Amino acid sequence: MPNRVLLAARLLLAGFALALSSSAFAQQSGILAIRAAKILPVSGPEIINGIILVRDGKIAAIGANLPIPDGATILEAAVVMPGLVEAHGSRGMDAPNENVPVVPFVNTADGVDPVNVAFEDALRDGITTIHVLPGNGTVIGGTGILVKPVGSIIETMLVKRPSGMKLSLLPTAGRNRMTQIQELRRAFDDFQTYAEQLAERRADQKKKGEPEEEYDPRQQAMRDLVAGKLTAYLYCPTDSDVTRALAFLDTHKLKSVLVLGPDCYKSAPLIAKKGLSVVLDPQMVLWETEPDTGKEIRHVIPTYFQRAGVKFALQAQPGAFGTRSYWYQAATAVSYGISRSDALRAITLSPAEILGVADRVGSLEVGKDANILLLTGDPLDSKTWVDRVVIEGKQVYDRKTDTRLSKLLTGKEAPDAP
Amino acid sequence: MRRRLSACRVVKPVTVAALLSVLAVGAAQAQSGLVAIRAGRILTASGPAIVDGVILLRNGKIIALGKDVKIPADAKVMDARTRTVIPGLIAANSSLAERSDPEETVTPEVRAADGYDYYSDSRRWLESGLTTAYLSTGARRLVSGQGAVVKLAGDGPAARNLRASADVRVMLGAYAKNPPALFRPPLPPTDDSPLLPAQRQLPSVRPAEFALLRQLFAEARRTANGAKPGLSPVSANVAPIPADRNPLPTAHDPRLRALGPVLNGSLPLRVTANTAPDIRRALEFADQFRLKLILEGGTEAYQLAAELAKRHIPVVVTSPLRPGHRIGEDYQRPGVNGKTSLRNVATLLKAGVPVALAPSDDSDLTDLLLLAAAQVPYGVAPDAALRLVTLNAADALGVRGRVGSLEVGKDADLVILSGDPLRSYTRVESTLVNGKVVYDRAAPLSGKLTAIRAGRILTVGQGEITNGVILLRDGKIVAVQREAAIPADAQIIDASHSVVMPGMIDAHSYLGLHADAEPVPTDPVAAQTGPASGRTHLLNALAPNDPAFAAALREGVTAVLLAPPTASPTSGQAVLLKTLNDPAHLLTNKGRIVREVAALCFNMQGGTPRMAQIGNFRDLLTAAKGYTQRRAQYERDFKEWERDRDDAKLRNKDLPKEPAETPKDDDMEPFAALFRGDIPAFIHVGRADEIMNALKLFRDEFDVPVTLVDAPDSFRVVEEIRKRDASVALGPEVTLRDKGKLVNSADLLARAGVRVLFQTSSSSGTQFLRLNAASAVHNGLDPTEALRALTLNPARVLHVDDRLGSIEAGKDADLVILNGDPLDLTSRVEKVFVNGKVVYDAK
Repeated sequence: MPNRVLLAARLLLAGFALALSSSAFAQQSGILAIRAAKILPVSGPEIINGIILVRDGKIAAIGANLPIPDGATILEAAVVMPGLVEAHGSRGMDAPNENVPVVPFVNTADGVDPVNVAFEDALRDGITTIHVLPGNGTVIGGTGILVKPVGSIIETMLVKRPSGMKLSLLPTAGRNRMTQIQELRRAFDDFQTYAEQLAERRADQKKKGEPEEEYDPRQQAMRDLVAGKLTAYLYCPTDSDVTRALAFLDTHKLKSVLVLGPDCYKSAPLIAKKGLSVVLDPQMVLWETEPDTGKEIRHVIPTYFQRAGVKFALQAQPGAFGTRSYWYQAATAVSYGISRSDALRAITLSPAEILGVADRVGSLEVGKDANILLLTGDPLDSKTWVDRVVIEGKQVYDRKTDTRLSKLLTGKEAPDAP
Repeated sequence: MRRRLSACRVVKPVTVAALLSVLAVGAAQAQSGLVAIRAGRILTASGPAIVDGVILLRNGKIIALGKDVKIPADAKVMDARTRTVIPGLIAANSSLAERSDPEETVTPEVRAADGYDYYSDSRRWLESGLTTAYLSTGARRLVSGQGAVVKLAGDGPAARNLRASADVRVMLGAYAKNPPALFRPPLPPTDDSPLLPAQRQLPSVRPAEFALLRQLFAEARRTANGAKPGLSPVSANVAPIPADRNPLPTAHDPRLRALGPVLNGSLPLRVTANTAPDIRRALEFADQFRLKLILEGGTEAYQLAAELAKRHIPVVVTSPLRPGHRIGEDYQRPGVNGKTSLRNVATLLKAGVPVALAPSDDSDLTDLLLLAAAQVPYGVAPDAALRLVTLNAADALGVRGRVGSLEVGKDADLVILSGDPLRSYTRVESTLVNGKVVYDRAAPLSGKLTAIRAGRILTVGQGEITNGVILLRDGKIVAVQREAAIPADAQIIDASHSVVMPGMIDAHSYLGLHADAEPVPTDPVAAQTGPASGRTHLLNALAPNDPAFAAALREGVTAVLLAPPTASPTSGQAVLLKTLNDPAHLLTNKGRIVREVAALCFNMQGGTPRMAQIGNFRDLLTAAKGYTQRRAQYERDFKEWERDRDDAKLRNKDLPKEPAETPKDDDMEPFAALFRGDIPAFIHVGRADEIMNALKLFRDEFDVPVTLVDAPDSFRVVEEIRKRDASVALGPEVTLRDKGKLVNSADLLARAGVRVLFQTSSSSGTQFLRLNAASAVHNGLDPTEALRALTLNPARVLHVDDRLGSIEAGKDADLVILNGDPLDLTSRVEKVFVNGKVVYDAK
């Protein structure tokens, strides 16, 4: 018996030595190890007492009982989950809408301020992938960009450009539903005319041996949209607009994601039939009055889409709550009967899939970008803080050095502030 | 979080129609999907009326229709034998699509269907019988776009479009003139396309209207024929979209393309024209381009009736009449839309012009039948009037193949009416779209008003009413009418094949006294000292949940005079009680007790030697009368003394002496009511001598109201009874044999003018009350008298005829619905109401 104890002690010592020697190597190669009481990978079941190893900005390994390479930088957290992904919004823009109704050639990259406090907030609240699109107040509002909230120039923030085109069926000033969609159809007709006439001219030029006319760069975004290379983010304020949107998409064979208004729920089966995904309105609970009895009926919007089998992403409340509200949206959904895992998915993996970047973000899986949130507790608990944020393997936020937060909570600068 | 959510919630009406239709799928259709409507009258709009016919529906279509259509066994049958069925109504014009006018005067590619909210609440239209509507685009531009025809209910938005594009609309006249100037800046301005000031748009005068139209259609025809688009824009209105976006009008110009179907005749041009000159120019324009034309408005169309008839141009006439609204138009003078003639429609129809009638305002969409009916006095035949809002409208809108009439193969869109479609009394009972019930008036509403539609109402007090309506609210009868429009918020109970009578009253019963109904041994002390009336409370003796209550209700007995058991000579006070017996009523007695002391009961039948009995009763009554008088005197004296005392206090005089009190005696108190005539004495008697003793003592000596109970020998002393104005509560045996001869006491008494009541004197026989009355009728009693004996007579005798006994406004809504004559024993009770609520339903 004592022999055995000895043997174990020796093995342990040997292990230490091994660990020490490999740690030097690890530090060199920049391995990050995140140890957590609980890991929520979103794509799979939760891991208790798990470890995530990050190498070269990617997740190299994930699981329980993983050996931590010697010299790896170790971060500890109560709960770890993937960075949140926002599928639709106008964060960081000075003004979301152009006054001219048809402006497919504008791109939000030119309107986003990288040092806008919204990005700092996003980091504080764990949103690591942000879709910045023009607002809903145009007919064709322009293209958007997908960014991560780090960097002081837009190029360092970019994940994808252009990320999609904003179309809207919400009648703009001076229009009604009929003329709004008329304007939309007219814009597509115009593009078709342009394309046909250009093709004629180019054929003519080719025949004559002249240099062929280049595509007008202003028409490029429309060209990508019509060719299905660019996704249309089509805003439908009401159920009735959804039916028109579906007909419109059929006509022009566009790749699309529907961005829905607050009272779209009756059209969920129609959307399911078309196999489209949706971004739900920030207002997830709708009250309607039954006209005869005056009884008020509560509609929890996400449940309709869940039942219809439509993939949905939630949306943060614009305004006062800011980035913080994205968490609340998921928590609210749970309080109204959506399962925890579905609610978390609706702010991480589902939006990533909708945005077409699920190969990189949205869940904790080997090979994906190491966009990881280190939390002090359960993500849906309002007492939980985002302790650290890792984006592409680098720690980009630490609550201990969050001067603004510290000042807000204590009135003092953060003690660890550099 | 919670507060935030409630602060930003949106309250919107639910589309009940959608809900209803979902329910209807489950409820109204049998598994085969076959629905048969058995209809009293079918007005097909396309053929002659069918009386007592059947309409068979399957998969949303009419598959058979006629008088001799057999109803398959697996069909779900809708009974409309007292109803009239018409096709779903069609609004030939409406602005149900969201509409506001675009900037440009020429936008033929704009589609009204794009402005319609398929999820909007259609209920108000469906409950008026409107099932199909034309949607117009904006109203103040020359070419505002394409109209559409939609159903107001159905499965899914796409299926509801009858025509997503019905026509291209042109608006002539004052309203479309002087459009705003257009400002379309190029993006960015260049040398080739400079920034220009806002451009004015045509038209401001009629020639400009037509110049613009002609250029537009000419350009459309050229490009449609494959010609290269013209280089010179026809006008500012059809000018190309700004140069940076679209240098030249092309085949892709959506405006020109939208006119293609009009040019090739597959879509009509719908021209709004009211004045004769505008109509004339529209005809000429259509001729020039060989277009199919529909006229809308048509105020002065009567002036061109022959022209329009010759070309067979449909006219959607805007109704000049608006029931329930002030009509501002001065008919003597021509207005901006020309000179109105109330005979416009009749004139056009007479000339052979296909006319549809459309409301002048969306708020009249619910009154299409009234608008049509209003044309009848001005010369439109009734069947033609119905067609104005059905078949003719379908014709004008190009949807005749689907809707507008009841014909085999067409959509099962129909309206079931309570009567003739053009009568003001008539209301929509239910509306079907695609064979599904999308509106049903009988479905419970929140409205507190209940309406019973009855085939026969036996009011008892005021004779019989056939095809009447009884309105109930808050447990009372509000109105009884012969034929009445039923208020829209009323819940309808259909008894149009049935007979309604007042709830029946058992005039002497031991209902619910099962355990205590055994005769109590005579108590000689009680006989001498007075009734134990104030001390025995019958309500305490009621057996809760006695099934006899439910049985009584089932048979339409809604009230009983609950009498104490009869063996004691002075058995006490009787309670008038409704036969409600659910636990809530038992606990609180709320709505259950009509009169706590309704009668005082005596027993003079057999028992004690008669000589002593009479003496005992006389002593009792004398003592009671003495008490009553003394007590009344004391009360008077006491009041006087109070007055004098207060007076004395005021004047500082000596206080008067207080009168000696006659203490209140609970046993004697009911007698006070008896001597005042407030309650009757119910005297159980048998033989003729007992009857005479009772009459002499109670009527002659003490002059109190008397009802003889049971009284089998009453037929022997009919005249004595009548002379003394006593009533007789007969039963349980109402007919008997005397020396082998059948005697019908009820008949003899009633004919002599004696008020007859029926009673059961039973703890469980109350349910057979009607049986007793029917047996009397079988043996010769006048049914009217029998009915009174079951209802109004007991109510009068018991002084509750302000509440019970007949069907009159203001009385309690205690009603019995039977499937036939109440005195016919083959009739069954279908429903029983007490206090306005259904307490028994045979279904």
